[in-house]
Amino acid sequence: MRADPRWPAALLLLAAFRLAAAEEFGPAQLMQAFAAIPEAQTRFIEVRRSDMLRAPLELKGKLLYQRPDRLERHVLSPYQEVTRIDGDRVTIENPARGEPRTYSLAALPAALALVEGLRATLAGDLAALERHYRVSLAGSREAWTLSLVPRTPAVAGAVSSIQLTGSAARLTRVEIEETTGDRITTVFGDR
Amino acid sequence: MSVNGRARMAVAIWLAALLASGYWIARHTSVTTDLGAFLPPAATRAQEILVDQLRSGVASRLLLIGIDGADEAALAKASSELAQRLDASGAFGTVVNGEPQRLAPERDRLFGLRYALSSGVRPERFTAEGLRAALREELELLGSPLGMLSRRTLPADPTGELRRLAAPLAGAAGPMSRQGVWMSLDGKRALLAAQTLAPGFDLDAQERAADLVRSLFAGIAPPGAVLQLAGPGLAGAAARAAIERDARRATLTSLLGVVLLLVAAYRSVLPVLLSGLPALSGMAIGVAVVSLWFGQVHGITLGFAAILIGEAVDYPTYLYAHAARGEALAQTARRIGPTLRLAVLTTSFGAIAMLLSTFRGLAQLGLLTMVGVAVAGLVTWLVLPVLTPARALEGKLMRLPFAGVAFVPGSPHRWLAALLVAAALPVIAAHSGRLWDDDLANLSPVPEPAKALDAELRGQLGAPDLRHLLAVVAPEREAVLQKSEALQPLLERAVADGWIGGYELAARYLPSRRTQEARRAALPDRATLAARLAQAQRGLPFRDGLFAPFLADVEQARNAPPVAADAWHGTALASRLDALLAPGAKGWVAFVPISSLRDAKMLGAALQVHADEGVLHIDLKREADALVAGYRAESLRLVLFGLLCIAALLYAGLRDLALTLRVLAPALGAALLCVATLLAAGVRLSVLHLVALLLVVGVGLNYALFFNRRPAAEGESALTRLSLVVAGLASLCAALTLAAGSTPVLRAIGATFALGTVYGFLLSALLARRPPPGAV
Repeated sequence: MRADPRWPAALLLLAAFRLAAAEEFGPAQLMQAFAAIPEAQTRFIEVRRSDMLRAPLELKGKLLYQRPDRLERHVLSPYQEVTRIDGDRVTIENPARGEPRTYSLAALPAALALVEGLRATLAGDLAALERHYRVSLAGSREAWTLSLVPRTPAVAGAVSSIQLTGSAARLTRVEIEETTGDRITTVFGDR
Repeated sequence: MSVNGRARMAVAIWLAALLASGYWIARHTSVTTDLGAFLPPAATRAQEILVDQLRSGVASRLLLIGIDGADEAALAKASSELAQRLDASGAFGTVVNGEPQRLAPERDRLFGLRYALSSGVRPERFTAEGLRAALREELELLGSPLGMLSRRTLPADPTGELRRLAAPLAGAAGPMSRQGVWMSLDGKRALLAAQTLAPGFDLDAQERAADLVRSLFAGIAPPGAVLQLAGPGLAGAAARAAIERDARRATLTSLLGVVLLLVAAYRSVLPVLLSGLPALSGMAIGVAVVSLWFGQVHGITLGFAAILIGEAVDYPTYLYAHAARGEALAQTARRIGPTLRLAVLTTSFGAIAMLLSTFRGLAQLGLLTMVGVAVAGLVTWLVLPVLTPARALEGKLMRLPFAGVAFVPGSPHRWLAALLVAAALPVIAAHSGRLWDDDLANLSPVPEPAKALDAELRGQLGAPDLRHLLAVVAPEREAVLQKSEALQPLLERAVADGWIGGYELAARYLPSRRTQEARRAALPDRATLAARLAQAQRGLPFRDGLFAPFLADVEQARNAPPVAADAWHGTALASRLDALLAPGAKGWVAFVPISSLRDAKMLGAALQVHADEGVLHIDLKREADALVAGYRAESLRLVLFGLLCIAALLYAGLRDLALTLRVLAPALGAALLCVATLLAAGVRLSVLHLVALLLVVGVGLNYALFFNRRPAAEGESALTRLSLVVAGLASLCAALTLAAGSTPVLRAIGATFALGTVYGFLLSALLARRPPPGAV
């Protein structure tokens, strides 16, 4: 049976109208929304699955962000640890280990890329994201997924991909896949 | 022998000496550029170490590199490519630009040797409890944002030894990174640091290294990008180039001035050309003698010597200007002979002061001046009269074209001289507290812009000026390593408490045998370790069998040969280790550079315990200042000794105490006036001024000697005045061209000498014996 050619045409036309009516939503628009937020604070649950571990490692804590480049990650259980990231400097404070340790992100390109995946997103800095990753966005303003694939070999050697999921200017979930096969899933939200 | 025969003999000897010197210079003389020869000699062990460090230490090999003038991405790319090419060139030990992968070979080697090198390897670390604590820490690290760093090494290194070892290597501090490489805060300059394999004192090699960087950069430079280079070796090379440039320019300009002056006086070219012979002969024979005596001639000695011997250019002037109309030159030479001889001898023996200096550069300069001036005098006295044709001087001036009242010796205004010198004394007294400049940096002939760029790049790179270091001394390498290891707990505490920013230690890369054995003994055998590990893992989520590589590596480390001195061969750490640990003439020395010393008192107190054990704290700046002060004191003593020699010679030649004083007074007065003028102008005196003052005294003596000559014939006073004015103007011309240069060193000498010429001439004229009536 021959299909009626009018149906697909009508559908196409409908889709065109729908597209024209929809507001544009791409990485730039998402970033704009984040850029408007000067600081944020949220709780998180982070689960690492690794072939080195018999059972997943689950951490609970809170995350603080302050424009433009400060990030604080407080692990509250099962142990206590604070990581402060300020520009290029990372300081890890673990009471069980005594003296805080400071690192330069510049010397650790993979760690820098990983930090920027989160920090640049929260900062709404698309240029910084694109320096490390190829960025693509799927979904709608209310339910989006931002996919990051490393650009440089130094980063690609450590991270396979990062997926950030959220709604409007709120990050709800980050999924990191490392080249070793480790998967780290972080869920954000004040519950 | 007839008079004629003697003259011919003199010419023959002169020619033979010239030929021999030429041969020696061509065949055997090597010109060095080792700046060390112009560093004062060390009196103490600490100063010896300082001089060594300045010449070839780690800091002396540093080359600071900046790339400007392109956007961030282009700068980062250029930095990365330049670093790769510098590595490939083989002329540099370490090249760092902030790219982490640059240290990969060193990390791999550290990893392989971790159980021999890490201070964390202790028996308690490998008990069940110790291992359990380590595994907990690893688990927490795995959960941190930096977890991926230890993720790969975790199965083989669960006690985290690599982390402990690599931390000082990467350096927590450093410049900011942008686009993966070091950049200045504003992102407008990419920064690199390279360590040359050549020591800092080898200026030729340093220059070659800089040229290599420039040519490699030219191959990869993005459009508009500019390379900035700085560093101690390069600064030395720049200083040398500036001195050479200035000396050449000054020589040419003053040569031109002097030639014009002489042509105007002699109205003929031949005597002008012949006037150059004594000085050139003096230079050639002098250089040959210096190289015979010292084995080599320093480039800077040559540069300064040309200036010192410049005084010798005056000798033919005295001869030619004194020739009376129709007089045979041999007759003139006989007539002024005694005065000329005394002038030559006083200058020549004034230089003895420098010859006796322990400072090799000055000693060379002294010998060259002594020989050069003596030869120039002899050539003027014995050779020029033979070589100068009778008619060459026929057209010369016979008296000054502008004879004025100021040039009448023994003027009634002699009180003016006394007044001038009397005025100088309070000025000198007022500055007596800040007479001397003992900063070694100010003795350095490095041009200002090079110094400024060095400071700027150093600041941006966060490379601290290396000022403090500990030196650990012992007869054997093993003992030196053990002693420096004993310092480590103290240094760790100093870092933790913030007295010091950090330190570097050879034993980090090459532990003593004793320590290596202790570490090996701390490692349990395979079965024991496996049992303890199983116990430690209980309750932790690590998969069974995960740590098999750890068990294997520990077992291997237990049976591995000790880390040898050449363990770092082929990595950047090899040159670093060489610089930190070196065999010396008196046994082995390990250097412990201390960065950012904040509390010298605390460190000093802590070191007290080790003071008797061959551990020296060296403040390079303080040692340098002490070195310069000690050396300046020596030079002052020698200059005074030189003056005594001159006075004794004068008295022996003149045999008249009053006349001796009359000749000495203007020369010494001129030196005092020079000092007062320099001080009043805000200049502090350095050893270079002392050298110049010796020259001032020499020239002042010449003027005074000739001004005080008893004229033997009618009209001779007019000839004397002519010769003095011509000679004085020639000296002034040479001094002024030097003073106008850009090198601080040459400027100091030039300005002092110019002042001295004017003062010496003025005072000599004012204080001279009154000529008998009718002689004018």
